[in-house]
Amino acid sequence: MSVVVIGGGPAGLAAAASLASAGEETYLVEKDELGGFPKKHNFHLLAPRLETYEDVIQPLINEAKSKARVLEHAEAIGIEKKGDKFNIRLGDGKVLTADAVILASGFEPLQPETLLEYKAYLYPDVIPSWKLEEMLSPNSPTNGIATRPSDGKRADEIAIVFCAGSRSRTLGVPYCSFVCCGYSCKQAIEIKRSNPEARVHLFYMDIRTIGEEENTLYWVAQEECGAHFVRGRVAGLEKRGDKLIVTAEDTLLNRRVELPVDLVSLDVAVLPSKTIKDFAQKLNLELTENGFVKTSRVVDTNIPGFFVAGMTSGPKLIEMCIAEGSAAAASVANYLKEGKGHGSKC
Amino acid sequence: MGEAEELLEAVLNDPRVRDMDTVRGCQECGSCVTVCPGARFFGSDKFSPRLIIEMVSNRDADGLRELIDEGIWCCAQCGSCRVVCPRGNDPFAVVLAIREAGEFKVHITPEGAVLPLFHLQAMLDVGTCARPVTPDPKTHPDWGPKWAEIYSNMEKIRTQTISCPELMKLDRAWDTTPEAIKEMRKIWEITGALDHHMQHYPDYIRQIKAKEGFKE
Amino acid sequence: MSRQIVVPREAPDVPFKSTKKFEEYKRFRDELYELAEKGEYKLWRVPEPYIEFETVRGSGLTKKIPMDCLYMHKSCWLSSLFTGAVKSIFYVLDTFGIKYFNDQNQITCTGWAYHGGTACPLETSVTIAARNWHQAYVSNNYLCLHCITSHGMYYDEREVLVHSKELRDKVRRNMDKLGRELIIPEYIPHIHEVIYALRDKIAERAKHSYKGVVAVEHNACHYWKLAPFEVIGGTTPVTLSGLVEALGGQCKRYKEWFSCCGMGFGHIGWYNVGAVSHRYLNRAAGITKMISAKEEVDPDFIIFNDPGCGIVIDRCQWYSDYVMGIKTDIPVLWYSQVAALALGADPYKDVGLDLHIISHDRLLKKLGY
Repeated sequence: MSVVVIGGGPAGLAAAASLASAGEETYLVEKDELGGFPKKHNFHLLAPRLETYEDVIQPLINEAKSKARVLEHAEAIGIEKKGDKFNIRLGDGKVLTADAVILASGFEPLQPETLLEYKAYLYPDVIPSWKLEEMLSPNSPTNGIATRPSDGKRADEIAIVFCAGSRSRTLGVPYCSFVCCGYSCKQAIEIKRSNPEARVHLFYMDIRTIGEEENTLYWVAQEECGAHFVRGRVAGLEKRGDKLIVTAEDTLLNRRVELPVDLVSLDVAVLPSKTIKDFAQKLNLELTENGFVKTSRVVDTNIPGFFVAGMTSGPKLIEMCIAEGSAAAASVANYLKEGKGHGSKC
Repeated sequence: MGEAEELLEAVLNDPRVRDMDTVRGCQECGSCVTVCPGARFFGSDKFSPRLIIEMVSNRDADGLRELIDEGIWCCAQCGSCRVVCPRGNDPFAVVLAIREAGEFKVHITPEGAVLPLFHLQAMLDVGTCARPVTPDPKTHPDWGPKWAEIYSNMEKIRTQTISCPELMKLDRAWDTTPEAIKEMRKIWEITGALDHHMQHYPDYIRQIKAKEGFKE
Repeated sequence: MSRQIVVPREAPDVPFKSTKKFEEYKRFRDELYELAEKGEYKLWRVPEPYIEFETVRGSGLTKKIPMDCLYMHKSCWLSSLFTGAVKSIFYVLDTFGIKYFNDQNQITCTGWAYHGGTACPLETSVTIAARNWHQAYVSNNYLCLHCITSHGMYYDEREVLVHSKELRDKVRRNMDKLGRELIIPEYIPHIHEVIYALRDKIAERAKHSYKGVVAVEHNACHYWKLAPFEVIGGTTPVTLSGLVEALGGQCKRYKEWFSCCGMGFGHIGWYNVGAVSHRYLNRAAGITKMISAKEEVDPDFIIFNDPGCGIVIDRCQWYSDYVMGIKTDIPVLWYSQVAALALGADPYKDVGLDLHIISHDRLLKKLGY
């Protein structure tokens, strides 16, 4: 019996490591390098506890590499179910046959240019949040300091726009992308620690730093780092001279706010991974209204033998992705033994 | 039912509010207030599209009633609120519904917002909302002395310099026909708008009804 | 005119992302056609020749702009105060041999009164609109508006007619009483969209180039904010900047680009309620825009599509100079005047620049007049 895990991000790594530890023949297929979105964008500190990538993700990579059969730079471009077996076709033409599959293909970030109102297509100093994340890593070209792409100058006034393309009927997607409130507070902390001159302005509708994030992220940002929270959605973004003018209503003070800043970071929405649509067609996989994979008991799908973990079934925090990886592994193990997953209805 | 309750009910029954997705859930995000020229230049304590949506959602009859006294007239009807609202609400349509309800259902429009007679006459006597002679320099001193100059030359410029056919009269925007004007009056009559303005301009309305043979 | 769909090339070339509101608009359009098939009203389709523009770039949505046999649905304020802007429309259409019908039997759409709020109730306004639509329909010329306020009003009224059976039935009965039929136009074209469609041809025939001329635009709220999926360029409308650029000029951004001009509709002899005066709103919003444009761009002119907006901006700048000490002096031109000047029209006899408060002398010199 063999299992193929598609996607080498936090969820896929956890799943592959768990499965391989349990003695299953496990393939881990990753289209770029292991580590997923955090690796791709050089994440340093992770929400909610400000642990490092080295402490959280690297151990998963090490474990997966040592225990499972890892294929990097191998993209799963096609899938079909024949009887009880799955045939997964890779980009180089190779076909893997598996008795069970875990799809952990992560997510697609909303491209900021599609949010015409925020004018990322026009102004280089309007960046998506992952670009800010890259800049804040200590080994970044700017040594962890947030700077303006347009002229390389240090950004002392920074606006973070919450819900850029989320929770909207008119821009982007209608659901909440879950992770942004947490990482935005984290970024405010990192910016202030790397540049004490900086002032960070966070424009929000709600603050959804749930559980312990409230104290590790939100209050630290506000109380220790002097982050300026404005309860209002950014509804206007224009350029004047070399500054960007961000406008919103401070709904708590009932006042219109116009703020000149150096840099605007957009918390862009989490979209379903591109792999899902294609696989859904080939397998008759049930999806949610928003295009994520529909699950029962978190990791099972409507297709026996096909499981998902991580952002593939919806936006969530990194540690939840890791947990789901292990959960999917357990469900797979049960399926291989008894012919059904934990959440299967048959 | 008091005035406030009557007003609320009329607003909720306006086809623009009742039959369309005008007032849906509100995130109180303030996008509408940010872009609103009324809120910007009169202050959001006087006029806030966000609070208007909240009042309608929460059935705040007294709040709406109070708006008619002054605040509701701040709206410039631009529609900026409609285009930015992430829930797809339309405060613009709600404001129009409130003003209409206040005038035509509950009859509480403050004097300074009642349609002036000369505007009514423009529509019903010549069939155009504006006439070249409408913006008198005496009532528009903030347009400056050059406007007074142009105004006094208006006839010459219209009839001689530009002389675009059908656009040369001073009493109407373009040369509307008597049939068109009659039809305009008929539409006001059959929809009750003519009868409504009896309360403001009885002599003028009676004169129209007599001329057109409408029932008193 | 071919049947291909023309992409508004000036709109940003970014991937299109569908939204819930977009899906709602598509359902509205489906319902517009379905109700017509059920016999609720007659749907007036745009006949050939037309140009079909994609509205929101990448969305597949389109708007048909008729290019001949146009019903000149006139604007009260433009025809009253800026006759030259109207004559310029005829000048451009005559240049290209486009037929148009200047119906004197047209009454005002009453959009100005509708937005003012206390003139007449909704049923009256919608009946007037339906009357004007029918009047255009029987003339066999497709509705082509001169005023953007008409566009906003007709767009909204068409929508409420589709969604509200109660109102629709009332208006149909009123049409019967008038001896008319309830006709609803498939699209609501504006004459400035026709001129936008002709921009390259105008450039070819131009006697004066806008090369070296810098403009700013104010694309009216009632064009694209009220109908963001049914205008050329969507929420980044290109009908004015596209015209200027095709004629060789530059159209630059300024911080207050988005802002409403502040016309407010209650500004001519009307709203005076407590501290609320639309004369003040005019000045406040208009001057705010002009200061931004002057300081950031210092343009040679500002281009408009709506009559009301241009009136506000032509009028408020004297106050800014005389009372506030801030001189902006930005002359106002409508799209038709911009096009007519390019084609060599007479600035006074055709384009009517005598009626403007702010002088165009500097601009005319740059254009080579």
